[in-house]
Amino acid sequence: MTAMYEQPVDLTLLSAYLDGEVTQEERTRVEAQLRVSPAWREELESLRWTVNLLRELPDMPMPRSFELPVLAETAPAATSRLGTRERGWRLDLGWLYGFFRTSAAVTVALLLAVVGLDVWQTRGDLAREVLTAQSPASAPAPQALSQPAAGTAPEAARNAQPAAPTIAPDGKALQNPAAQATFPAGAAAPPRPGSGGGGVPGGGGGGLGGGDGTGGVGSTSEGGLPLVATPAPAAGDVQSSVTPDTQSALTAKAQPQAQAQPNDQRGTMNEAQGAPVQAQGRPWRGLEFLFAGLTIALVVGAWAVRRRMTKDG
Amino acid sequence: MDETSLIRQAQGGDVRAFNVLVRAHQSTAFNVAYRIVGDSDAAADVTQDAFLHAYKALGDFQGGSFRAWLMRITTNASYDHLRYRQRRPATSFEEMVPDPDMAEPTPALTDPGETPEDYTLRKELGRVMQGCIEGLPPDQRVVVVLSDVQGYSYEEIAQTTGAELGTVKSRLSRARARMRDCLMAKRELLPAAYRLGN
Repeated sequence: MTAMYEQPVDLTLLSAYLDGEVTQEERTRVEAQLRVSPAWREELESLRWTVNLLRELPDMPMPRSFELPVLAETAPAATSRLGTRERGWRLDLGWLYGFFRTSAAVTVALLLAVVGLDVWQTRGDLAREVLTAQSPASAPAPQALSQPAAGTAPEAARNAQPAAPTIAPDGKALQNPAAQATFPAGAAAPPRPGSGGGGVPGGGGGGLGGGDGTGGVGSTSEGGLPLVATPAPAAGDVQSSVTPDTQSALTAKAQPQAQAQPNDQRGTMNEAQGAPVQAQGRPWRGLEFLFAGLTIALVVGAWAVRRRMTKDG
Repeated sequence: MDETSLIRQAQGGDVRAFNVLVRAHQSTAFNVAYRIVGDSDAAADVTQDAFLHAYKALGDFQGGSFRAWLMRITTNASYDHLRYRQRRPATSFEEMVPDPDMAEPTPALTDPGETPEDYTLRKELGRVMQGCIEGLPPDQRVVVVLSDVQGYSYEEIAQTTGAELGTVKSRLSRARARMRDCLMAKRELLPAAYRLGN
């Protein structure tokens, strides 16, 4: 029956009991176990023997006295000034430690804020880039117009508006060459250069001709309406409907196609320049490094002050 | 003059007043340092450093147990020496070839009526026990020296070491258990009168 109350030996409790450093409840528990448990009694006995031996250790004689030299007293003012200054300095250790801790907390908060702003701006930039890439008519349209035109200006001009024959098959000049170009009935006239691709029949992808590489608005190379040059009228037959003014106007229409190229090229360059421009203006990185460095320095300073305070007691 | 007045004068720069305090506590400080570092010369250096540091830091003493405050400085200085020695484990020539004329200080004769045999036995006991003490980890060593060798209370030990009361109890119990096991293992070296069961 006694064994059922026996508990494992609690060495810390026994050691404190030996010194009288236990509560009344703990004392009751220990003494109950001492009554029923041989293990508890044996442990207590061995601890008591150890403590008694330690108390038998004699004091060792000092090799010398450790009194401070009285020479320091010859300059009491200096000593006291030094002592006061040192004491003042040491009294400030607690304030210094608090300053380091508070400052470190502030710099950590600032660092988190800067990192948050950096992340937020980065996400905004990415979103804008995605939206720009998904925009249907903006970037590709000018490029489609400009790319073929950049390399094939004459071709674009030729494709945009076939030049009206000015020389008749018989070698005579046509007075009204543009009027000689006839179209099948019901066919749409070739669109003006620079116009949108919506009305171009049989053009390339999107009506712009950019997809098939033929380029140029109003391309007639594929499915385009053939121009049939009818024989020029006789020299005397004056049925000119194309005046020199009209011809110059028709010729001039081909020019905007070519003139549009530099602008489009400039547009492309602006597009390319826009990307690095957008990438600039990110001052957050510098601030992040600054606050991170400050935080580390303040934490190290607080640790050093704390260590000094502990050492000084 | 009471200790509080001496401390106040010493804080004002009175070295003589401070030396009165030194005379009152230097034996305890030296013995604590000796039991922790295990070497007389090192203990003397540690004790001198501790008193110099205490004089400079008198402005930080805000009252309470001056002995506990002083022992805290002494134990910290002892820890520093142990760490220094751990980083520089080179053995001195004197340690390799012990000179009989330069032996460790012998225990003081506390009882004039003590026979030479008893004195020898006590000296041998001290040597064995010091060996077991030096086998303890530093934190347990400090606690068992302050408690069982110097007679400090648990509260004073907590103030000296900066540890919680529960930590002091736990460290002390572990230190005593390890000391017991070490002494049991060397019981043939112990004088018969000091063996367990006698």
